[in-house]
Amino acid sequence: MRFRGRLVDVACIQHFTRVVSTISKLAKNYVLRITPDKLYFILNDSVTSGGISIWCEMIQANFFDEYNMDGVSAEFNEIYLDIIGENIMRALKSAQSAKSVKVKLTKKHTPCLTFDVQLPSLSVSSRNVVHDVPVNVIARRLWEDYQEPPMPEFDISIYMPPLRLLRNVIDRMKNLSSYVILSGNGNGEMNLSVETDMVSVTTHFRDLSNPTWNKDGELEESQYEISQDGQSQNFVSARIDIKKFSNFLIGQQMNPSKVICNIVHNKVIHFFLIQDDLSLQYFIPVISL
Amino acid sequence: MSLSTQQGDEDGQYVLIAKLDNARNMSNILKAIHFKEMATVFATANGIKVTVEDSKCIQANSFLQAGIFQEFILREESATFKIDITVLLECLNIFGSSTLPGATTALKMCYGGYGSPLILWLEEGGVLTDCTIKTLEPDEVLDFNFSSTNVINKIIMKSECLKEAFSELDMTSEVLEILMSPDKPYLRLSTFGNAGSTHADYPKDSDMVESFQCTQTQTNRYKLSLLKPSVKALTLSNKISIRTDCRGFLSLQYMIRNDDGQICFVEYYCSPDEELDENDDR
Amino acid sequence: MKCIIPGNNVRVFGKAIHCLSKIGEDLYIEPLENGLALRTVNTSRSAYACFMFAPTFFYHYDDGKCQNDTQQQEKENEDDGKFKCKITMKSCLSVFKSLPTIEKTVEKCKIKLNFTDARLVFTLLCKHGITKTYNLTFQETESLQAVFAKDLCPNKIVAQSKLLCDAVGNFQTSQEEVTLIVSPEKVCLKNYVDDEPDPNKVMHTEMSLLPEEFDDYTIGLDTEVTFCLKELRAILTFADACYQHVSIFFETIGKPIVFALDGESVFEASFVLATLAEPGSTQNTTQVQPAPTARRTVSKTESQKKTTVASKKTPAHESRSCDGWNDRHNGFNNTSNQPDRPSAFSERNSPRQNLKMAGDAGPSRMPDIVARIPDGREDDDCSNASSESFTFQGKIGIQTSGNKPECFNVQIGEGDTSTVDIHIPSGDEDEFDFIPSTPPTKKFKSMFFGSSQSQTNSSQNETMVKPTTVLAEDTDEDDSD
Repeated sequence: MRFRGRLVDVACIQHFTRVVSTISKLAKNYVLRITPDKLYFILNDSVTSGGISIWCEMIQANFFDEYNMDGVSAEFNEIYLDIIGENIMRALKSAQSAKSVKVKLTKKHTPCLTFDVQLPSLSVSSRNVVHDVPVNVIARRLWEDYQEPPMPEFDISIYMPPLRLLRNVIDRMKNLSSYVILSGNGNGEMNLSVETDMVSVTTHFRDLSNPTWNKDGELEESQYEISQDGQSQNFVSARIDIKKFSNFLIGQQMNPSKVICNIVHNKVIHFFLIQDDLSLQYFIPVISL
Repeated sequence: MSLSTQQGDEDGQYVLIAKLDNARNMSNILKAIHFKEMATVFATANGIKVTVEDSKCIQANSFLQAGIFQEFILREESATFKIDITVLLECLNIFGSSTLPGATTALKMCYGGYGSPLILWLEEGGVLTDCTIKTLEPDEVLDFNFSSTNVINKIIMKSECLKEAFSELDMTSEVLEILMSPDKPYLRLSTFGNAGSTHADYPKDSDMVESFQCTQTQTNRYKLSLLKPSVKALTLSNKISIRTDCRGFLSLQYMIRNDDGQICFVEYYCSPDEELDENDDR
Repeated sequence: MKCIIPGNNVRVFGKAIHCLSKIGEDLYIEPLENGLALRTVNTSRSAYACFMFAPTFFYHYDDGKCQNDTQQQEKENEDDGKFKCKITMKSCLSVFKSLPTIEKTVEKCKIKLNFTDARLVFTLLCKHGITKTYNLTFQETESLQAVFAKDLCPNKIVAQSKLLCDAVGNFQTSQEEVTLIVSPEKVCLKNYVDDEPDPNKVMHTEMSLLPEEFDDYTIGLDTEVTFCLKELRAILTFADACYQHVSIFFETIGKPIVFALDGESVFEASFVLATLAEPGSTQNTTQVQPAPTARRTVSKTESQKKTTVASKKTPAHESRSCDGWNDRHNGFNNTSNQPDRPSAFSERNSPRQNLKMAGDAGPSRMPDIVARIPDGREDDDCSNASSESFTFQGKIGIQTSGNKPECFNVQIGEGDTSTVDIHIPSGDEDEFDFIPSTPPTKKFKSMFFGSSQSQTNSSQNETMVKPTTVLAEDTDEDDSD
């Protein structure tokens, strides 16, 4: 098993850091899956994660200048590593103004992802910081636990308003309640609502649009056509943990081009964040009353 | 959807309707008295007064005069209720509390009379939020009986010079002692904490002092933990007036200028610390 | 005592207080003839800091010898010494709480001893005629002094504070200790990983720098030293705020490391940190000295001088001048060959006689700083500590001989020859709030008190010193690659 990659562009390093930072806010531990073309950050919906799942894929070529890997075998040319987000973030923190960052899988006392950061310096040669982040290699037989979750059979799919607007509102709603009800309809309307004994607050977002999905579960650019019968006015909702939702909104730092919210009434919300070279899916289960 | 077009017909049911183009003009004034969770709201034709009290020793009042509202309608002589001011502030700041220029939140506030909730509609950038806040039976508000005729000493000064002194008060001291005198040190704020005593002296001829009318030397002590929250009002205000009466009661009045240049007042009343009272000859 | 600090220096003074407050809980204040000394030591006695403000730092500086204040004068004369006290850091911080505000509004700061009311009075004279007075309670005490000699250290690095700040920024804020590894070719900083919980689960960070990055880089002895990062951060925060470069003096495992700042002759600061007595690096240690007498001397050039400086009688040259250090061809051994160098220590020959070097004895568990209690006879050989005083002996070689403490001298200020000793007022244990019930979990033993935290006995021969038989190399964690 071998992995060696290098990032040389400051913009790529910072972008990569923002992605890792977003994932690390969503989950403490997660899985990094390395394949020849893509990198994946995965969290499966276990009890420990509170029912949350994450599936993030990035096209490695858009970040790495050099990239070489050999998986566990020729047939299964992939590597799965269990990592602690906080540690990777610390390593990347050093790299924000770096000349280059090399990432490789190494074996020190324990398997590590080693980040070798070349920093600019006053003298002719570089300064160099090396971070060895311990990781666990996940055995081949466990790989099936880390497959892409299927697209849910959603009742509603809607493009979200700018995440920073949502974030401002959720930050205040967090102080009122632990849960928020997110609802949307086929008419480009979305509501956020909290309710306690003392107060009920609802924020209404209008003039959003609804995406179209084809049979293969892929996004199309045209109007959402499925419900023409006036039912598009009906709201579909789900009650979720406000803190987990708030964590997702941090994804705004990645400057996504689209963020889609798919709601399965009273079951789960599936967020789909799309950017040029990556996509992030985040599943939050409903908290029933 | 703008606030003015919605529910025009239903407005008839409300006892109080108030509209503000900039919700911050109200939320800032309320922040200045936010040291307890519950507040009493008292509306008259003159405007709205919000009162917060603690321990029967300290009372803070915010005045939102009718003139600062774009529209102010009261269909009864007065209306009063108790409300959770923490919740009210979260609602008023629902779109974020950053002070970005140009991004203002418009507010419409309605109250249907005894037993009804307070309803708020807030709008910013095309996004609308409606809030329904429960109201409670109002408590009797203290009357500190502070009258200008009994004022012994009065000083008006710029708030900025007192801000750090108040923020840095030694909290290990039980009391804040205020000395006001026609003679030196003129105005002295003192604390007596674990590390020793601290004095901050403000001379009457300082350029921070706008008006100095002290007739008698008075030294009074007040519970520091009760007065400390007044630093919020100090931070928001431009000027402060400090007055004491013959009983040693303290009145602090803060002049706050809002985004639109309008002036609002906040006042704090505090009774002197009891221990000292016992020694007074009255 | 009375002194007045001009407005633009109040900021520096305030920053010094903040820096000291991150190290110790009590601030020891001593007005000396050559300046005002502010010192502190941490609760585990493994870090000592001293700021010395020269009279030129002040508008007015009166260390108490002034004739005017006769009442105070009489008292001070009685004690045959100047006024010395300690105040809690908390109370001093209350004066300098908000540095930005102080910078903007304070025009002068007066520090005065109010003898009658037993208060140390800090008065801030601010703009707009506002005056803030702080009457702080104090405790009279003997002076807190450390004895250490930076000029005896074979290794010296001078760096811009910004460089060190950048380097240290690569380590997480919760990182407690860091290991500095030096050789003539390069410098490494590594995070120190404790044995538990599980070193395999912890992230390892290592930063390498080349000697060219430093203003001065003299390595007489390849070594690695592990010390507390938190204290270094406090030092660098101060240094960076005042655009200082930092001079670092150190020797080897277990010996203290000294960080010195030089404020253009109006103030100086020295920080002495204990270093771990066992190798912290997981890499091959290059410096361990197996042989009691041989000492590896690898310097930037090929000085292969004699190993021990121990027996030399000649005092070291002035630590202030960099000349000797800059003379890289000779390394620090040079000092012993230049008896004619002007020396601040010429009057202090005797303490030096007992100097021993790292190689003289087997590695031991204790860092070595000798605390010497001035008992009025400053020139005395510190091995002659009287019953009123006691000497802590650091490790190195001391165990074996047991009664030959090492003494280091440091000078403060230009040409100053006063010894700065760690002075523990003998017999008055109540004064110290050491924590006998909490033995150190780490191997940083008290620099000043030796291995046990409880220094209930002041006998100099008391063993803080546990005999050790372990040779450092055997305990090396094996390296990974």
